[in-house]
Amino acid sequence: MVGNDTDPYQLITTFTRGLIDGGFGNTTFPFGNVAALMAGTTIGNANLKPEKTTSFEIGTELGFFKNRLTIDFSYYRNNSRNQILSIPIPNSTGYGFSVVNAGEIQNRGVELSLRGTPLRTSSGFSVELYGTFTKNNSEVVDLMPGIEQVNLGGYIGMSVVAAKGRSYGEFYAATNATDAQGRTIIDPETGLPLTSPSAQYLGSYNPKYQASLGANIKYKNFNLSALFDAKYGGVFYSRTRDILGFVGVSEETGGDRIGVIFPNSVYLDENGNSIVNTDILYNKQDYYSDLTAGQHMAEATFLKLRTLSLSYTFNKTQLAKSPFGELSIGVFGNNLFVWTPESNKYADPEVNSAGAGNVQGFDYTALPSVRNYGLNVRVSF
Amino acid sequence: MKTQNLYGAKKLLILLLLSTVGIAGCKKFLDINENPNNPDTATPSLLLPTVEAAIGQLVGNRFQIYGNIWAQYWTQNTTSSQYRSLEQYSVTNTAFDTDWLITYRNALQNAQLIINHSQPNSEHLKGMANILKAYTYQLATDAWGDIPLSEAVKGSQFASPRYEAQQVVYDSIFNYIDLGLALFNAENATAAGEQDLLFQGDIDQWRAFANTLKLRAYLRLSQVDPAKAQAGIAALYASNPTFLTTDARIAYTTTGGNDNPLYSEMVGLGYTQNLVASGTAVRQFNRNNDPRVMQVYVPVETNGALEDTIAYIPQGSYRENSGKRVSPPSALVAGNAANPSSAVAPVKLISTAESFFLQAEAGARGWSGGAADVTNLFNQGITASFAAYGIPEQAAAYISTAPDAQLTAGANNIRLIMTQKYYAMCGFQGFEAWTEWRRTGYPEFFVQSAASTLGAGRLPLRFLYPNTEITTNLNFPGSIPIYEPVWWDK
Repeated sequence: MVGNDTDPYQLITTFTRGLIDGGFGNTTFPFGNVAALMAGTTIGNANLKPEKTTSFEIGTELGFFKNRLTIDFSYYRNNSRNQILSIPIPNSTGYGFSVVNAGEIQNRGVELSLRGTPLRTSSGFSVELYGTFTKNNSEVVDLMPGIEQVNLGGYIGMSVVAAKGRSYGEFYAATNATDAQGRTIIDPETGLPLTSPSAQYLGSYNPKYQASLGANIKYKNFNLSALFDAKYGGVFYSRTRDILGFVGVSEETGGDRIGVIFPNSVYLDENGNSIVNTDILYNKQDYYSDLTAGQHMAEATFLKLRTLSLSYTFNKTQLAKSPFGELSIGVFGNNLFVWTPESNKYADPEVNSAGAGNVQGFDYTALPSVRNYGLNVRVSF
Repeated sequence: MKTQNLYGAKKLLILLLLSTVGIAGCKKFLDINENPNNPDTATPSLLLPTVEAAIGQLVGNRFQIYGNIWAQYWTQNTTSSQYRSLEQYSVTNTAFDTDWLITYRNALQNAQLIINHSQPNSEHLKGMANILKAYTYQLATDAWGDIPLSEAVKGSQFASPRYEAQQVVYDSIFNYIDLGLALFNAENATAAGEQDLLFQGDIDQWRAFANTLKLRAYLRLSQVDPAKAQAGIAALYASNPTFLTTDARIAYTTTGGNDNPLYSEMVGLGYTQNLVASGTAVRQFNRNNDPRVMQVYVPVETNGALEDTIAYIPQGSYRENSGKRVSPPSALVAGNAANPSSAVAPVKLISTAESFFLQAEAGARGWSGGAADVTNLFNQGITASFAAYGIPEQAAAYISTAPDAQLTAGANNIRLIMTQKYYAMCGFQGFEAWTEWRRTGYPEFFVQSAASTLGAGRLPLRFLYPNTEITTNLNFPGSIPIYEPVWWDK
């Protein structure tokens, strides 16, 4: 069991210097000679308790065929109680955030790693393979009494929430209204989608599983190694998608732009029944200039060729007449290829603009992971 | 024995006293949970300026932009793009997050902290807080309709404040105004002085402001519940009220952060001129040969000389007129990004002209009791507007010749009073002008924005609820489209 505390000064509600932020402008005190205070942003919590995490883990490490095949497997279950969260609350309460102890969050999963050498010949040819597989299920078991959901944070209209019974970190925002069959409901006056009357759950940033597969192939002095990384499942919020749509350069804004039918759309008659839209047109510019936050999601699944390298190492006899003790030359590349599903043509799902913390899965028009390649020469004397 | 005992008791008492001091000292200096950077209490007189400045940001910046565009005084410039979604009527919920935050967290929250404060002799400050609370709730409900009220600004007591009907909000507004007026009668109350950015603590002005606000609020119910409006106004006039004869306004300076909120916004946007003259308003000023048009807008320059008319484009036609040079609003109404005197333009919560037009309307409807001199009040409104725009000497000629200034008897009066009020609010009170148009349908010359994506015949009739409420308030009642009228809008 491990304990955890929080930043200082979270117990008392305080006042700050008067500052009214109007968006791009502001009114700041002192105003001439007039000083002012205003209520702080966060409600203090005098009853804050430290966090506690209970962990259970069981695992095994096995070796076969004189350790030519090793298996490392573990199963774990962590229950965190009284997690200290600073959660956004409705501004109509008079405050923006509240510091709370949030119930119980459970993480359980498996970690598996395999390493094997299926081929090894006396001629110096060997193939080594290794791989990992991890799967984590998080679940919000319980929140504060009477509370079904807390907001963990977010940006520009998109929130990340912890909702009872769901995984920790679900996206939650307004999106296009849909009918029972998942078809987009449009406004028959304009041809444009209606906004959902309330916020919807839009998926979690947690992947279903992660896996990697690597290989080292050696033949005499040559060494070829490769590592693939994969994440399956989960979604992320892509502001890149938003901006590409806003300025009209993404593929989804292309094709016929004027007077088209919104794909798979319906409108409602006076009884609320869906009628398939076959003739009400809209202009893409009117739609993509102001999308609801929920329309900026993208699938986070990817497969990456993380590293690929080929090297040649000179042996002692080759180096006998040289001043070098060791010499190897090689070429390498990192992040050479990324495969994403058809639906994500926007951004690298691995970028995380929010840094470490509760709010993850935000591509805030961030730079993608760097692809680099080069040549290396390693010598020693 | 006896003396010894006494001596012992004394020693004990001294020790006890010392230890009390010690404990108090401990609490004061060694409490690690007390934040040394931020105080944990604030007096009413330190909170009041925050409330007023918050209202200044709403009325003078955010609501001013929405209002002046949707009241068709201003339109999006042809060479910039900040407010295109307002012209398209395609704003999203997220756009209103800041407005809601300022309303509840800056204005109402701090007003409520003043009202709840235990400091003695703060009746006048509490009275002001009640009036400002009423004013802010009216702004908020006129913008959003049903809003959190009795469960609002109560911190963790109501983590998801329930929304209440606009009708209930209006009832409370009248109640808050009465509470405020009663508190102004207290004797020996501490004066607010310079901490009061609106009236520098002048209670007579505060009474006039409260009465004028009450008149405005009752008139807002003229279409949905005329009987209630009439009764409320009759009771108000029976109390022998004073009404505003000067602007209820906040004055700003050229110091950054103390400058006019709209100008401050334009500075923050890199001095971009996003707002320019709309044909809807300019054509009507011109039709009446109204000299105020040259005061509220600035002519464009050709060959180094100012043109003698205002260059405008039809509402929302930035695409059709791409690149065309259009007149910006003047520095008098803080709308000219290129002119630094925009910084010192005041923000008007209620203007003198508005006060007269409200009284004129009450009179024209026959609700103000006795024989109101409607024509005189109407002309005083126009004169006050000309004075506010810096050309008082030209009012008389306008009153005698302008078609829209010729008051005759009958229902026509309401149309002319509202239309004149519309002219008087150009640039200064955009939100109120748009709101009064929603209530009365006057002026009658609004058009649909050329950039509208809302469908034929639809115009914006409310603000959208903010996204922060959708995602955090578990009692959020559901979004309402921008073209749905609020309750009083019949």
